[in-house]
Amino acid sequence: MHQWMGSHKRFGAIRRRWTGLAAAVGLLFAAGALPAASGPPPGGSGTSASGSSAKGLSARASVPPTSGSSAGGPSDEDIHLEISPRICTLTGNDKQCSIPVHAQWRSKHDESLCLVILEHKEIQRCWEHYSAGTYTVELVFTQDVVFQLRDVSLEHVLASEALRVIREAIQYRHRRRQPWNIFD
Amino acid sequence: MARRRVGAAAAAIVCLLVATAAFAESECTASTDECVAVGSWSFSVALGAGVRTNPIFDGRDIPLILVPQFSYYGKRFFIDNLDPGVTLFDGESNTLSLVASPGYDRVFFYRSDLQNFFVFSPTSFTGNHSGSTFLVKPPPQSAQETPAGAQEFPQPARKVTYLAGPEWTFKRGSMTGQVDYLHEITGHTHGDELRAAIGMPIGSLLGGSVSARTGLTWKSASTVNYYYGYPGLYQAGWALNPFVKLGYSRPLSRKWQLDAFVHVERLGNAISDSPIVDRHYVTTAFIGATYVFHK
Repeated sequence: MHQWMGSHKRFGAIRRRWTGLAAAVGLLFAAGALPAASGPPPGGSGTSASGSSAKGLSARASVPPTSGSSAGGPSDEDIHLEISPRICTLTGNDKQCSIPVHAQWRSKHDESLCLVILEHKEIQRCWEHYSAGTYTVELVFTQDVVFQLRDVSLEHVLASEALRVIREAIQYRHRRRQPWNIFD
Repeated sequence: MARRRVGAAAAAIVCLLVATAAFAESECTASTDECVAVGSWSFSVALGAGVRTNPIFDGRDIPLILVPQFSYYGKRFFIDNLDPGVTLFDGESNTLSLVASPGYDRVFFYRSDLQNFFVFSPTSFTGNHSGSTFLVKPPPQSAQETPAGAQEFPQPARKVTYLAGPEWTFKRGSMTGQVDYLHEITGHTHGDELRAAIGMPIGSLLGGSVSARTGLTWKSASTVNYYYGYPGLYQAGWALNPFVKLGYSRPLSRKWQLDAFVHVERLGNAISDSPIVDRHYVTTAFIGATYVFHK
């Protein structure tokens, strides 16, 4: 009898330990899984702006010499292009970005070149024998927009910079169903 | 000892449920009937004709004319008409929340109850049961004499109460289930309620969808006594109220939809045996058009 009670107690203690272990494992799994479920939305970096207006970030860009560059042509390593803003964030029901974009370039030497916008071929601004230039344009766009500085023949890319479109990730969750409610 | 075992087992179950729910991410990727965008709110009003029968002796039925519906969903917090809550886990097939919900039975005694505001009608605030006395149904042998045979007693106060507790919603295929265990937190009834229900779409009809729900509400003796008992006259025990509901919904346009439903709840014996109750069933029926102001 005493032996049976002893076994019973030991069995109870083992069962409690297993139950406790199961609870601890459950909590551990939950803690490990929660951050993944509640982490930042994709694309939602700290540099993105809210609304369809864009953050006033700027960037400098230069590209390696292109194979087609002539020896007497502009030295594109010395040409720097900046655009502002760099990012447009679409939030909520925003369908497109509609913002003024400011482009600025400078070089150590006088250059003859053109600023083109790949997705808006109709926009083109050229300079002849200048070492710097600025251009501001109102743009409406839904995808990334690439700005390029090219030589006057428009064949060689001297500098390039992209204006990125970021769509704010909308999080969804389950709607509550209330069977006792009038319309649920 | 036994309590510790039950507690440990309950903790293990909750932890497993939590782990399961946390591992499976929400399947919601767009606004649908099942899913909403975090941070969104909605407001709609149904205009139509309907009624909720009143089981209280000599109580007036509650007409349904305008039925406003409001909800807001944050990432965790939500408010669904009069029910605020916090969602702890929102998984693919399990959702676990802590909710607060008003005590339901008061609607039969006070037309000014907030829940009757949500089924507002022109006569909502002129009920005959907000007075200082109430009638008790006469014994069966003098039924012929009603209402003259009814006895009049001082009306006990039935305060607005709120219950709070965990709510588990689960989905298996097209079936959705929900279980709430709620405890009264406003210090009036000190009672408990267990609410459980399952529901599923059962077909299409005339361009709309038909759904069915069934479930039950268990009310502890202290809850039932608070509403239907009377010291020295009737001491109630716990009650189990099963219900069935058939609903129909059909979109009419982007903002309008047709809604209709019939909800029948059978009152538990502890309630229907009360001398102030003279019906075994509460029927709620409505047909009308719902206008969605914001979604």
